This record gives sequence, C-alpha cells and structure tokens, in this order.
Amino acid sequence: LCGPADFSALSLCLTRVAVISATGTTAFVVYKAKELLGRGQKSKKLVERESSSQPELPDREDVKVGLRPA
Amino acid sequence: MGKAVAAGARMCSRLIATEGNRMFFAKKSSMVRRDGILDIKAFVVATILGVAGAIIFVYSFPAGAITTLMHEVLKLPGPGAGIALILGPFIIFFSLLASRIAGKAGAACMTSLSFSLMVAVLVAILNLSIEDKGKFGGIEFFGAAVLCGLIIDFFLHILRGWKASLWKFIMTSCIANTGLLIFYWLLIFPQTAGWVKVSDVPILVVLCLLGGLVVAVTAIFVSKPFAAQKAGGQKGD
Repeated sequence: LCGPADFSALSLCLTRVAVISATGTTAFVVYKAKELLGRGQKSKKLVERESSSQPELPDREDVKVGLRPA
Repeated sequence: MGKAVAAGARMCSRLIATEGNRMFFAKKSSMVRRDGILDIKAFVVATILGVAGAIIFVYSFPAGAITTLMHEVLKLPGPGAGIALILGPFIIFFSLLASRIAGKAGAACMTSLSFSLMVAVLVAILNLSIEDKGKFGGIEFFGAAVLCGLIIDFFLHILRGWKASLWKFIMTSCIANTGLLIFYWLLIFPQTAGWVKVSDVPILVVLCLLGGLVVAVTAIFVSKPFAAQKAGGQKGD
C-alpha cells in the first residue's frame, strides 16, 4: 500500500534537511546580531546627542549654596 | 397619539440601523482597500517564495524518503501521513509567509501556484526521481496546491477582522491542511496508493491539525522581522 522502504533516500533527506536548517539558523543568528549591534549604536548616538544638547546649569551663587550640605 | 409615537420610534430605529449599516460598509470597504489585490511587488515576492519553496522541497525529499520516514520509521498509518506532516505544512508555510510579507489578497494562491509549477518544471527538466504516490509535478498535484492556496487566501480574507494574527494563521493553516489531505484522499491516492481505511482517518486528521498548528506558529515567528520592517516602513511613509 505505501511503497517500498528506501533508507538511503531517507538518510540523504535528513542530511539535506540538516544542511538547510543549519543555513537558516546561521542566517537568523547573523540577522539578530546585526539588529542588536544596530540598536546599541542607535542608543549610543541618542545618549551622545542628549548630552550635547543639554543646557548648562546656571552659575548662580544661590543655587550653589542650596546644593551645599548644611 | 400612541400611533404617532410608535411610528416616530420606528422611523428613528430605521435611521439608526441605516447609519449603522453605512458605517459598517464604510469600514468594510476601507479594509478591502487596505488589503488590496496583488500588485507587482507582492506578485514578485509571492512567486519568489513559491519557487524557493519548490527548490527546497525537491532538494530535501528525494523519492522514497517521505514514505520511509512516515511508515517505516514513525510507523504512522497511510496513505496521507506524508501529506499531513510534510507536503501540506511545506506549501502552507510558504503561502502564509508570502501572505504576511506581501500583505495582499491572492499572495498565498500565487505562491502555491508557483510552487506547483516549479516542482513540475524541476521534475521535467532535471528528470528527478520523486515520490510517485503523491503525483508531484502532475496535474493533480497542481490542483491540490492551488486549492490549498485558495483556501488560505479565502480564510485569511474572511478572518481579516481578527486582531490576533496567530489564531487567524492557526485556524487558516489547519483548515488548508485538512482540505489538502481530503483532496489527496479523494482524488489522488485512490489512483496511486488505494483508499484510506476509515479506522486510520481520526489519527491522520489529528496529525494534519498538529502539522497546521506547528507550521502556523513557525510562519508567524519567521515572518516577524519582515512584518516589523514593513510596519516601520509604513510608519516612516
């Protein structure tokens, strides 16, 4: 009913499926690594931009006095 | 007086119903417009996915591999286990991927069509040995693949209102896989492997549903980066 068994075909099939799975997994890992790197660089740039655009604190005596411990 | 009030109330309710219908149809038509039909970009994406799927399928499963795996190693009943667990999920995976990436109605059907055509071309050109039982590359196989794509497109269109795309994909995938299996049982296997035993039907249907479930979850997971990119691009536009 279901045809003759062919174990050589099955082993060939499993080898090929393993090769394709390995390729797919590698592609996914590379994609994820690239995404993480890009995200890290973006957040670094954002921090740099924020620090450069922050206004300087006023150089006032009363503020300085207020910050000093009693 | 009472009659006048009743007539007024009837008129008001009719007005509200008409307004409701108008809003419903406006919403529906906007959804159809958003779904859209296959444009050139979606057509190319769907065709490439179908061709890639066919190449991977023909490369991965030489003649006798599916039958040996299903009936000799896993000891599953047949015929139909290979369709439920390998061929069906394969076609459905690429069709769902195309549908999610292209985001257009008809993408799944186009993918399954190009899949079946490419399998036929590869078998004819390279003179490959593939499973005779499934008539891969034949006219019946072409019909089965197109039916599967049509079922996927139809159910994704019907269920487009569902917010949870995972459940939508799972339901569509299970129905498409079952449809493909029934097509094989009724039109292909009687010519090649004989009729399925009634006692084997429940276990094969369960396997078919399991295959549909797994492939839907995998398709959602794999297509996530592409769908996210697309959403980002649309936001940017």
